[in-house]
Amino acid sequence: MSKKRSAPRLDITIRGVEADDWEDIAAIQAAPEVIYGTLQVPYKSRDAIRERTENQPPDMHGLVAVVDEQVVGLLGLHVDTGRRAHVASLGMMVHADFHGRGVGNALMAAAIDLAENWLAISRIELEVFPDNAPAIALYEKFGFEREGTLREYAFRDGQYVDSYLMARLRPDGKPAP
Amino acid sequence: MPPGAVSYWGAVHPMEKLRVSESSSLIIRGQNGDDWESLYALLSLNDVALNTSELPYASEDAFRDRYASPPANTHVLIVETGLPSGRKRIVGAAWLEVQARPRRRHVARLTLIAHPDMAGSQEEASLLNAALDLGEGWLGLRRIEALVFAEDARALALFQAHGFVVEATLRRYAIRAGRLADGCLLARLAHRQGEGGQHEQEA
Repeated sequence: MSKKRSAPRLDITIRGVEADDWEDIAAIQAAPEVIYGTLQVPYKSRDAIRERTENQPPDMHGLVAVVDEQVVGLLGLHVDTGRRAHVASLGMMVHADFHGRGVGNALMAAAIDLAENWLAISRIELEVFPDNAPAIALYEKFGFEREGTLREYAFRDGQYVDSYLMARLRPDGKPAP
Repeated sequence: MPPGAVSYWGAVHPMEKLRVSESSSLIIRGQNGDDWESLYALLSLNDVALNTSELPYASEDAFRDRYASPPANTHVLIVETGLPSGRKRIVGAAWLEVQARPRRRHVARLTLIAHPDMAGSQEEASLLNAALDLGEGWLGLRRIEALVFAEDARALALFQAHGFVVEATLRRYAIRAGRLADGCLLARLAHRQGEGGQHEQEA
């Protein structure tokens, strides 16, 4: 995220996801760039997206990034249970028009604060495609480390592709940024 | 199928009939009605639970709800051995959970449990081979994953002897014996195995 951008600095607000956000979320998920970088599928039913937005499971913490009253980014933090209650898995997506403008940064900072300072999560894990350099750079900036490469992890645009497994461990004794 | 194992298709596979009647008392079959009770007993053993994600003091009701009727994308294999009395005893099980996400349906997560008496035995290898046969030979899976504790050397060795490769070490994966322990994510790719693809590879 060190690249200089001519676009003006965005005023980004992070808040919890609301049922009414579903249309903005559907717009984010429909973009080919977003589908390519995540495990979404094209031609997804808007009803299914609405249903999922309106009924977030209790162990899912959904955060959205809002710019000018529009939801431009979405992050889900899914907390595990039992012997993995200290673990959360994280997924995020940013509106294709807002890539590289600090949206992911703001979402990630909020998610780490929520996870480590309030939910006592000490391990956050995620998967990312190895060719998604901007996302990997963001994750590394926030202390995620590569734990391995999962071969043929997912199908994408006609091919089986690998994925990196990355995780961030809560720094001992230090509150998250 | 490995020698001594029986693939149970409701009826015995014709190819395996001779082996059954000759020497083997090992049966690998699908899950039936009250098998969950034996699975509950198996997973209540400390040595078994240690290397799974199970908690002690599990409620039988909660266990039944989770294990008695697995979802359609989860294939369960049960291993039984014959006792001298003629009765059968469940000594192990495997869960092959095909991933539900549309772009990951070529992948399944495999979990094995075995009674301590069976640990490291040919029976355990037979169970693993049966699960691989089902996944690769019949369900068309390309990638089968397993997650084991890094300290569980026996499980690591078993999977590695069957074409699995450690792809990642997950730090602080889960609590084991009172402290956070690392996990290993292993995977086997069907098309990377030797000639014949879906069958066990020579280690």
